[in-house]
Amino acid sequence: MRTAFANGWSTLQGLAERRLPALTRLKSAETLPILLHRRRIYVVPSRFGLIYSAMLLVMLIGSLNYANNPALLLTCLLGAAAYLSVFSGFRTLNRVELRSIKIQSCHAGDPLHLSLSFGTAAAVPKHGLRLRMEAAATTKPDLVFELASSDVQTVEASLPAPRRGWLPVGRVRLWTEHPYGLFHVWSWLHPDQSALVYPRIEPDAPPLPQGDGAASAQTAARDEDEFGLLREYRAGDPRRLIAWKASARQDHLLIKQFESRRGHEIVLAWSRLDGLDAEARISRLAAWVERAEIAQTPYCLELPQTRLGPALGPAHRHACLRELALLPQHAA
Amino acid sequence: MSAAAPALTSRQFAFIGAAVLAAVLAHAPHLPLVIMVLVLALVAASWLRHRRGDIALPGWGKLALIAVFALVLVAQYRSVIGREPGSALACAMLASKLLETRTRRDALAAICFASFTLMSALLFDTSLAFTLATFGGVMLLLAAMRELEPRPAATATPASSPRPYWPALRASMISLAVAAPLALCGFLFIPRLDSPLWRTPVDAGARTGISDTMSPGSVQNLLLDDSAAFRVGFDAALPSRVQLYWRGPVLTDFDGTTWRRRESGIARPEAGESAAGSGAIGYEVTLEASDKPWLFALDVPVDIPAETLRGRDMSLVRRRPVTELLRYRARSVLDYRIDQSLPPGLRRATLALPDGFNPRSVEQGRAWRNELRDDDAIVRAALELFHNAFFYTLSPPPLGRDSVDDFLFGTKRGFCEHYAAAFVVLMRAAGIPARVVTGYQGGYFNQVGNYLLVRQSDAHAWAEVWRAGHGWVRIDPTAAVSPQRVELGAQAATLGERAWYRGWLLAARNQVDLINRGWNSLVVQFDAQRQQSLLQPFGIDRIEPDTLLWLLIGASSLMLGLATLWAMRAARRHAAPLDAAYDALCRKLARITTARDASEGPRDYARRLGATRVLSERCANEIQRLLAAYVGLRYASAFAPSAAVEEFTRSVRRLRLQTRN
Repeated sequence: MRTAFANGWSTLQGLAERRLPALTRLKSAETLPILLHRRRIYVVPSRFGLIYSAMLLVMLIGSLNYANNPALLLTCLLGAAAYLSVFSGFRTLNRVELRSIKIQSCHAGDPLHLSLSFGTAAAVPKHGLRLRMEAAATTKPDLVFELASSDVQTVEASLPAPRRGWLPVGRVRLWTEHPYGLFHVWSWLHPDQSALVYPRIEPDAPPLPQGDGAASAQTAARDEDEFGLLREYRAGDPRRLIAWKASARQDHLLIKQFESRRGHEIVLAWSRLDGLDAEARISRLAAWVERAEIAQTPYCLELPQTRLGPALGPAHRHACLRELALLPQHAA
Repeated sequence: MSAAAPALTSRQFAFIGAAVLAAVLAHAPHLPLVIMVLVLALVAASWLRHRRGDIALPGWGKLALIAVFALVLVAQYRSVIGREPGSALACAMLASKLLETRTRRDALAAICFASFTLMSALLFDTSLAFTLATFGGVMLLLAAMRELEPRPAATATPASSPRPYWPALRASMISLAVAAPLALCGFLFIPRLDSPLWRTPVDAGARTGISDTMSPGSVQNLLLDDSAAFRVGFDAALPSRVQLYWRGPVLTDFDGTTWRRRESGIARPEAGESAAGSGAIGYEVTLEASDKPWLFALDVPVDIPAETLRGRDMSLVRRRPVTELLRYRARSVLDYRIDQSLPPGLRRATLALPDGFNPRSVEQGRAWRNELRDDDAIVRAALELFHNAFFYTLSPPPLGRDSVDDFLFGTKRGFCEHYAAAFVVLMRAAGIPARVVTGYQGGYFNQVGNYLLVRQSDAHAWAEVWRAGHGWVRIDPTAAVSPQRVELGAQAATLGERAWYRGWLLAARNQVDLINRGWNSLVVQFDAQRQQSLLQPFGIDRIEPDTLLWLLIGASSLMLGLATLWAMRAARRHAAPLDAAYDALCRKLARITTARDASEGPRDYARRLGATRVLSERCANEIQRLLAAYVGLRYASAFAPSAAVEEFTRSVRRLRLQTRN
């Protein structure tokens, strides 16, 4: 019932978008930065606002009936303060700017983590800003954040990433009911950004195929105290490679760096996975890529069209997973 | 959905609780003690409940609570309709709502209801101080609403350093101040109703004031009450203080303990009265709500306000009780003669004494009649008796069944009601028609506001005796005992009996009363009639209600327009200074050479400008330098140093573009 209603509503919105693009703001994606201004900020009374105005009306009639001027003055004062709060709400959203979006790639099925960085040039601090990713609207509560004047604030959001490939960030609803919860002030942001979602990792993948008889397992038992084998942490390094003991003595995190072993590489080949359908093959290859990275075994990815490697490291991993992610849906 | 809604933080609950408490306390002055205690207990219970975590009140508990309140209400008021029981019910419901407030949604409902309750408190008291106090409550309400807005998790969690409460209060104060002009505009132009849409039964006797009976102690409560009874503005000079007798109900019937008013018919205009009317003084009285029908006028009124009857005894009675501030004009003659001929019925009534009461006093009166024979001599004898042996005090010893006997021959201490009652009893015993008149005497004259303030504590009782050829003559036996009471006022007469600071306090309050009078005349009295003559200074005698509506719409649109301008303009002014300077530079260049394309960056623009060769050599170089500087400021670092930005802004402002040749 509820889903049927939601579907109907989105159909209606789609219709409205085609007919009245300026009204619905289901507009095509925009490039960053996106600055909110008065032409794209919308205001309606919230439900509490409607109830409260009904209450104010009752108070007005009551004080008029009893010809009680102080009560009327109080009602007017409350009403005026309530009404003028719409301007506070507008100013809260006005000149808020979505400056950049940092996206961390993830595997399909995992949540996609985004860092949206908002800034404002306005001198007034912005309180009670709320953000909702349309794509995650039903599962996640809205995020709340504040912006000090001339400040930049990063908001960590996440999106469900059910399928591999490019995932558009989608529409972002930025709204506020500041200061009194009487007016709902909102705007749509539709950043032209997409995230690359890596293929799903097969949960219980078989062990890596042994390439040229090399024993890759021995690399697992490395002594992490060998200082020469540590390097500084870089964003994107897998967490399980962090050398915690060594890092505790330093200011920054250290990563276990293993010597690459040329000549011992393994080949992860599409063609050798007969008997599986395309998506299962992709999942298994992705699992193997990750496993080879952990094992620090150079590897080579063979796909029907391309061959990558042999190599090791974040760049190679990304290249391989990207290739896998962007394979057509029914490649065979 | 509501089960999953997050519970309120203790800070939010504190704000809601404060707002609710303010709304309930605003009703404290008129609620019975039982209900007030119950309501406060509920507020305390809900606070405890919130402190100890979520112990939900079971359904039967709520039912029991409602039952208890219903019982108490019915026991107190015998009904739930009307202002008093209605407000008690509202307080009770509000406090119960607080008890079950757990989520934001509950809190919003409580806030809605608290607004209404706060407003309804003003139906009982319209004084300036109280109104300002309720505005404090409004501030708390707004602060609570502001507090209910969610906060980022990062700033909400640190419980170790609680954020002070002051900023939220200050913010709501500011928004109230900003809202004041719009509120005033609504107040001025919202059309008032000529007659109410509905009336609720008025609960009589809720307020203090002169009543139509007098029993021992009934005036005493009044004498301790410093609230204003009425204010008077005189057309001409203030009459002398000893003439300021404000006539109220006249009490004729005495049953031994209580004096009562007697319906004496309507006064017919008399010949002598109109002759004396030439010396009448006019004045305007603003009477505080008393819930009683008496109007007060100087002894004795000749011109009376509309909707008012003047009894044969010269007291003024309104058709309806005075339930709100009432303003009326009257004219009085101070040198009067009334009832020159006494009808037999009235004569009997004003000579009647209850059988079996006060035998010694009756004997005394008869003795005087036998000894002195002359009415004047008897009156003088009585006044002399009072003058020689009696004391004026506000705390007299208690009297027994024969109160007048006890007073005259026993205690010999008392205040106006004792003297008036004893005097009338003596006179009646001596065969002189006499009656008790209640009202006020004196008042405080405010020099600055040029008006007379009469307080409840100025309440007084005096006597009238009928003398052939003179009619009713006012005799104030209290003046014989304590001349200060009449000449200086009630306060002077009891000096030394009250706490030392009261005199000083009262003097200060007398001065401040000017503000109250201004409040009453400007705000409380602003009714439909005054509203319609709002534009009289501009030559418009009467504004129709629909014109008022248009005025309301016009004025509030104007204010909202101003607010809109503020919201939009302020945003533009606060554009980053670097961008503003760059925009200014581009505008300058667009006037002389070519405009920058929307898609064009500063470097491309600079290149294109360099190629156009419209500007003079020196100018072109300067522009290239400026554009390069902008690129450096804009893109070299995240935040450009403000000194460099200012320098750039200055250079742009100084730039004068010159074309080649």
